[in-house]
Amino acid sequence: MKIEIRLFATLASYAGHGEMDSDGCLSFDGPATIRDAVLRLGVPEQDIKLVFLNGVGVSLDSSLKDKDRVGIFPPIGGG
Amino acid sequence: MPKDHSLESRARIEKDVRGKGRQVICDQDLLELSQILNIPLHQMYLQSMEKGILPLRYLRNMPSITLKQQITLQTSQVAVVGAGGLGGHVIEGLCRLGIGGLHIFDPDAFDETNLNRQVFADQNTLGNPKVQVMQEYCRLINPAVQITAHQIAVKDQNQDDLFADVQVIVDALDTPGDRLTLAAIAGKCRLPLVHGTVAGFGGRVMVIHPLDGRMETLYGGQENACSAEYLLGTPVLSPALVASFQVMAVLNILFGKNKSGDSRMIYVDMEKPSLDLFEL
Repeated sequence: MKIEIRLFATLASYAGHGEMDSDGCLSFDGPATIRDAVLRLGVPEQDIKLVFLNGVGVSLDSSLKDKDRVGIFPPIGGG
Repeated sequence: MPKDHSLESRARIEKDVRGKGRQVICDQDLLELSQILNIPLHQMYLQSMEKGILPLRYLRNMPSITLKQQITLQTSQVAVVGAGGLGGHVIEGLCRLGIGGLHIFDPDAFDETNLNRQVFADQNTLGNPKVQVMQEYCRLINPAVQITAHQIAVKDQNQDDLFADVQVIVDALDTPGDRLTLAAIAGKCRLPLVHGTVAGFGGRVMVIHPLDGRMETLYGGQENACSAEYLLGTPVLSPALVASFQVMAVLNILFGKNKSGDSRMIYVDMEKPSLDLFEL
């Protein structure tokens, strides 16, 4: 399955890791969760604040299916 | 013969952007009538609009903002907590739009690190209290807006009496703990809270409804986390943009345009560029 991953703010620097393709997608041969995707990209879990699956807030344990879109945010607090 | 001191006597016809004739009145006439008739200036503006005579300063708001909506703004009160990068732009925007009462809160004075982004920070205002500077500027921008400056931090949930008269609170703070406290106050007062935050060339906006718990989702347990703005900085672009989205959210609330209760998180990345909506 192919998953689109969007990494926001400071996490954008991890986009080149984990064999992400030029469309910002990761491919998995078997079942996977968002945590598996995060591990492949090397994003430290403590740097993650919000996780979205197809635009809805979820946890890292959420299971993925083909063509899912994942959004990951660090803490943001500037004003 | 006694001189006519009616609003109608000072009104004239001006064409709006669609070429439609509209009765308008100048600031100077409203100021004079306010003094002659001994009526507070903000009341004079309201009376004028209720008679269908639009203060000329609002002509270019039409028809995106109607006369009826302009009256709604003049009779509304909004609190802006934090008068920094976001807060300065929000306060200036709400002032130009003609909010009747603005309550602004910030304990700090301007320093040199504010000059990169904060709208009222300049060589002359360095060292001066932000809310005092903004109050003075805003009186020059729009004397119909009554500004109450509070040179204090909002750090205690028992400060809810400070928000007794407002319809909306704007979160323009920059620390997680203070934002959580403000959300608790907004919940106590049953007021919508327009949250905004920035980092780098991006930022987010979200309307937090009373006691919906979403500020905790955004900031709970974050005491030791390194927040993105410390790694990316906050150049002027993102506060200016995110503040505009916050002001739009305030207008939508005051105009009753968000009846479905849409409170999705907007995230804008100007560098990419992208705009996304998320449900939290």
